[in-house]
Amino acid sequence: MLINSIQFILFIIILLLIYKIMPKKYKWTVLLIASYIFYFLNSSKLIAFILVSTISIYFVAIKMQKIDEKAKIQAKNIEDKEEKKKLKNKAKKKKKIVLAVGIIFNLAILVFLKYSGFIAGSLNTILHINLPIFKFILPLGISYYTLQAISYIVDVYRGKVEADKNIARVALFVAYFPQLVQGPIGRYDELANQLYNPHEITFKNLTYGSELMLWGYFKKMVIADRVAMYVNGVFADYANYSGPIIIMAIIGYTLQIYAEFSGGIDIVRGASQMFGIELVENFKRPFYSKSVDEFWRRWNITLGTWLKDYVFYPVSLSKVTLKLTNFSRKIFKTSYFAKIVPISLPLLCVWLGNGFWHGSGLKYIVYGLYYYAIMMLGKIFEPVGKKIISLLKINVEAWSYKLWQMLRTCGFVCIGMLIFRAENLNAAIQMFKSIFNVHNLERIFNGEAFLIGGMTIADIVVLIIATVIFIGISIAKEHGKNIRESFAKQNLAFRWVILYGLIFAIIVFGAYGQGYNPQSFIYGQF
Amino acid sequence: MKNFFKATIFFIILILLIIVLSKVMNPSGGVKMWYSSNSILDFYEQTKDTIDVIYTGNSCIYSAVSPLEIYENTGITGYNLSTGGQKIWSSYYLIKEAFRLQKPKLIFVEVGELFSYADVEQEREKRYVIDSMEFSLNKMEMINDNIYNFSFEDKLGCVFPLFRYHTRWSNLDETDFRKIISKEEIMYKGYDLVKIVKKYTGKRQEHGNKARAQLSADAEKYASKIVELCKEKNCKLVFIKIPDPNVWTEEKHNAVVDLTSRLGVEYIDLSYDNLAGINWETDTQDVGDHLNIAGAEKISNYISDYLVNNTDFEDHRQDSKYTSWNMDLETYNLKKQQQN
Repeated sequence: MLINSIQFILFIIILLLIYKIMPKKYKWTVLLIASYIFYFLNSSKLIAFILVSTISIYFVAIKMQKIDEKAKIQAKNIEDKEEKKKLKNKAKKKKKIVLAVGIIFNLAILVFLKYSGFIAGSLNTILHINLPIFKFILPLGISYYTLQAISYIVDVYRGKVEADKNIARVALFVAYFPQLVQGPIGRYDELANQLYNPHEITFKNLTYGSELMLWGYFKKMVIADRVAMYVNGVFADYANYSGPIIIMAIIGYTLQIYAEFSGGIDIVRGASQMFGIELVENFKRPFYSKSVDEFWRRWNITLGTWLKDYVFYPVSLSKVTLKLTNFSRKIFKTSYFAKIVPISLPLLCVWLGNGFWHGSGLKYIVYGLYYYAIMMLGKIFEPVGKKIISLLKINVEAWSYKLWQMLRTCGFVCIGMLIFRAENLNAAIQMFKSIFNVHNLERIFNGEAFLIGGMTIADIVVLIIATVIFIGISIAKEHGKNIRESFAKQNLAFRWVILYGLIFAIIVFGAYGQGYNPQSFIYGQF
Repeated sequence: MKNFFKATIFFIILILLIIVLSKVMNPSGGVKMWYSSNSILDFYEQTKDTIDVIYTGNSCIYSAVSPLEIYENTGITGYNLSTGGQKIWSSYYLIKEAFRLQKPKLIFVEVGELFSYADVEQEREKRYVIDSMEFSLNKMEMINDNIYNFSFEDKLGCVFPLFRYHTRWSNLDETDFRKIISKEEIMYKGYDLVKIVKKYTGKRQEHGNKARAQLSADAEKYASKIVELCKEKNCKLVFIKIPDPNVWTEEKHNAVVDLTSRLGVEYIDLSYDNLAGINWETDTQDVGDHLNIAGAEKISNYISDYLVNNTDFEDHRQDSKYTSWNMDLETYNLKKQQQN
């Protein structure tokens, strides 16, 4: 059941009715059962994997809590402070072992299913051996729920949240169906209570939720799936294209993935809002970013914060990084580089993690390292950049300078998208090279360059108009406008005209049904 | 309560808009390739309980049986409820629909469509029929029939063609909008009048082969269902074969003879027996695939004789209730002369 299907909409409607009539005490069980039905419909037998993950983190969390409680009881009977400290450390060690087992177990499932083929293939190439290469069908949302599961046990370990004694509640947190497909990656402290507390189905939540869903469908079906035709056409036959066509395809893919990923998130956030459950925002107009660093704080936000909290910080506080910090201080004393070197290791882990999370394959590692390199180089050359700005007396507050920063960031992101989308690394390099190989310019002037992959002039017109609307809404949001709040204040006739317009734009101009290849969500494949 | 009322109005308007846009986007009755769908669309324009005989089948019969020709000869009214590539299961549902709106006492089924295979049926062959039918229980039953192998989205597209044909938005023209306001009869009681002559010089059909073609289980099933339905409605059923030398074989003919004897249905073979006296030099419009007006006149004359000799239908030519038929006949004859 795709979230861009009629079945999903019917599923939500039926669920809303059941949720409404269910006694308050049992409302959360409706969500749990629905989540497992949704999961089973999508992954059938593979539901076993999410069950195993859930059971494992439930027991790991309970075990850690028990270790804590036992240590506290024992500590009460001990007077000596040294003894108390020893006991505490011993308990912490035990907890750490249990946590490590939980993390390794869940990561092992993910690595085995998602990366074993890549790892075996790489080992075969490097060591000239002949390991069997397995390719597994991935359980729905494994890359999302595994991160969520790990965040839960780490949070219990850190004492941020208490271990839940009800396994069904843990199961709901892990499997809550709207966020299973492509995130956002929720945190237990933000999401759990929302899921368990009963909510009234309110008219406001229904209208706001459905408006957000409509907007998501518009972005996915009218923009992303339409531009995908062009993008697929060029990427599938990249050797025959060059120059502006390659550039248009790369920009097109960036538009596609943004409209699709943010559209998908809008759909699930809207669906969730109808039940009174607010999922966190995963995008914040990323193309307004003035640096790549900022881009990643606005793009796939929940992955970024997850990596920050569960990779960057632990690695930063690890013994290796502390040694690196001391080493760096010795070498660079108090210079700027003394600060840069220590963060190079945690950042490397974050970006390798980011690359790996996106997929198994060399290009994904390079994708992560590409951003790592940009960020490190940005930090290394920051003082030089500042000097140039002051020497040339550049007004960094001028809008033109900000625009330049945005365009520069977009450029970097687009190259990243090329690595991400290309068939393999070699294809990405070939395509990048062919950008500078400008010939057949007549294709641009006679319009042929735009009509690739089955695109028609009518498709291009629709795409341009829809993208302009998309950008217009983004500008308004960036300027602090709450679109749905201000829309709600408009007169009924206006609101209905806009809503009907949006609905029929999706039905009529949506790239679905015969004549279009149904496009699954790119971020739904992780 | 106020919000509930508002939401209800919103969804009613939404559904109405979907219905209107579905009519606009539906190629039936608008697009040239969908010409034969007019046979069904025009059927809904017929005055209730005025049709005596129904003819149904694929393009073979809509280009060969002219109900107005038969009316001129006998005063018996009829309607050719046929579409291009129609299959026997679609005929079954069309006959059901005919019984909902009319009280026919005789039904002719062209047997070429008995050799239908559901797994190779083209989408447009199904949709010529479904998208031309009005919303009714018969249509719902048809859409849900597994023979059509429709997915959930397909079924939604059958009820609201907007979802199936939304991509037509860039090809719409004024006819697509005009058809939702008024519907003119385009065919002649379902008959497609063609004057072109392209002679057939291929092999003549002669008896001599004893082999039997294989009928699909589905075809037999729906043939039986038609028999049962006609019995239930107390309506006579006749299987007929229109001359069709390019496709029709004696193996098929023999299989139909067996089937009709098993089902107890009368069978008129105008193909091998050439009872209507078709001349392949002058009576075909496309080298033997379909008959032209000259061929249709011969087939219609043969059926006229059959009706006069084998049924007791009233002659409606002087009946004031059937004035429109006389007017249609004038238009038809005028068209015939114009073509001449």
